[in-house]
Amino acid sequence: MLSIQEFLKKINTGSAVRENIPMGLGMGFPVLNITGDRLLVSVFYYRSVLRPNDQTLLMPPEYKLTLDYPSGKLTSFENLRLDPRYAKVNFDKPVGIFRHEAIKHLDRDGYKKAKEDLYDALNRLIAFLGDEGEFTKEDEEKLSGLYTMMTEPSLHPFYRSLSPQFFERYIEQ
Amino acid sequence: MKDFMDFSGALDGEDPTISQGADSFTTGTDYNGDGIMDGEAVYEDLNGDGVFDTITASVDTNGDGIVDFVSVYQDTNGDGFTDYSATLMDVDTNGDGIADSVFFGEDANGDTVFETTQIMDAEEWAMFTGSPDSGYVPVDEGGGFDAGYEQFNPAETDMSQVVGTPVADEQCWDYQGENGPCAIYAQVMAYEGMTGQDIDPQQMIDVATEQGWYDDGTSMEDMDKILNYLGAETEKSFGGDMEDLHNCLENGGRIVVAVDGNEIWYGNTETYAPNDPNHAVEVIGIDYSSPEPMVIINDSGTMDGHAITVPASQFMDAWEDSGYYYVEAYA
Repeated sequence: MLSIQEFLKKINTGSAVRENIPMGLGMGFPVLNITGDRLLVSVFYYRSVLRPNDQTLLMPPEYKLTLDYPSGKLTSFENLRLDPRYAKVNFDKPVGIFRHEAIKHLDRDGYKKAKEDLYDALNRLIAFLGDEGEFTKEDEEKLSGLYTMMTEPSLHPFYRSLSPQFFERYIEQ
Repeated sequence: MKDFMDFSGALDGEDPTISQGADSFTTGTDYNGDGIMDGEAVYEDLNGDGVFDTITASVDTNGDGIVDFVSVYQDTNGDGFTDYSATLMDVDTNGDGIADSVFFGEDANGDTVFETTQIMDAEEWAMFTGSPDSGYVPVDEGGGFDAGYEQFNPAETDMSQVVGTPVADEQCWDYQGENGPCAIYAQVMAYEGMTGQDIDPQQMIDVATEQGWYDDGTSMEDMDKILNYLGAETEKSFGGDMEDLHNCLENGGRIVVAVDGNEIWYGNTETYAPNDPNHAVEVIGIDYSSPEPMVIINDSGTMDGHAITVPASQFMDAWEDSGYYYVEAYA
């Protein structure tokens, strides 16, 4: 099974991102969508304006991508700046500051580890969805806890828009 | 945040007033019931479906004529209940009778309990809102962001241990200002270094914008377009390493690489960003005179980014985040 880490690396060096996402935008955490028997991974890309002393500004996401898992084939690409539903968004105005309260205690290495833990837990869910493993109640609580901790509250509306069902189950705690 | 979603539905506890085509309307309100209007409520239909889905209440709680309390209620999923609310309130943290901070509370799950609370002083508030008139000054309009780099110093270096022409290429460095045109600047610096010509970066930004190579940023695929436009030959690759950089520099080429700027700017400090924002810099040399080779780069993203030295291991960490993506350029 292709791990989510390998999958994300694949799409971040793939043509969809290489050709369409301006450098300077980073990827948020991936969320899952299930359409029929297809597992899809959705991500958004947004800017963060670096400031010292934990005052890094988070800008609204500008692009949303949904890709088939594990092939990485692009199933949808949205430029939110051109989407009338987001006409009132000022994409040049910060929506929050990093680091948010739940991760204040994490240093750089701690954050990286928590991110890896989240992806490992997500790999277990993906394996389960593909009938390749178990996903216990403990696994679900761990995944949910990590998503809730790691996702920036100021970006939650965008995470919800990527996958409302996934958001309500694993992020909005 | 209230503008970010395609909301629908009505608000819990409020009259789900039909908008009848209006995007919003405002009513004056007497919140404390003394017969004098002390605030207003703004009803908004953010998704244009004909149902107001957001109410913003602004109140002057102390009667001084200035709004000091703002609360937003939203139905974000169209089920008819408020599921998001946020409150902003001026607070006096030192008891001198003058509001000096802002309280921010956010209930993002509709349980009426704030999961997020924060008290921000004026500077933090300005940072939070990004409001230019509240003191927030972007770095390209202020003193700029100084990363505290160590610059390459040829007087303290055995130049026989240096590949590339960092002393000359440093003169081509220019500061880009805030976000965006890093790849354009890196290409311009590289071209100037190869040819000795003086190129106006703004003119190249205009060209790139017109050609679709720049739109508030440059994609990795377009990271060589300005070099090509100016006449340089280029080759783009993933999976580069120090040897590739060395060989290119030794052959008189110039290199533009995509990196995670955070790891170069902040190194091992406690400051970090939530993702891996790619940034383009020009590699202008490698200094082998110290136990760990130092990569010398021109970074247009900071005020002190000319000919800075980055330990090879730190540079590789930053480069890894782009899959070791680089552009080789030759005049």
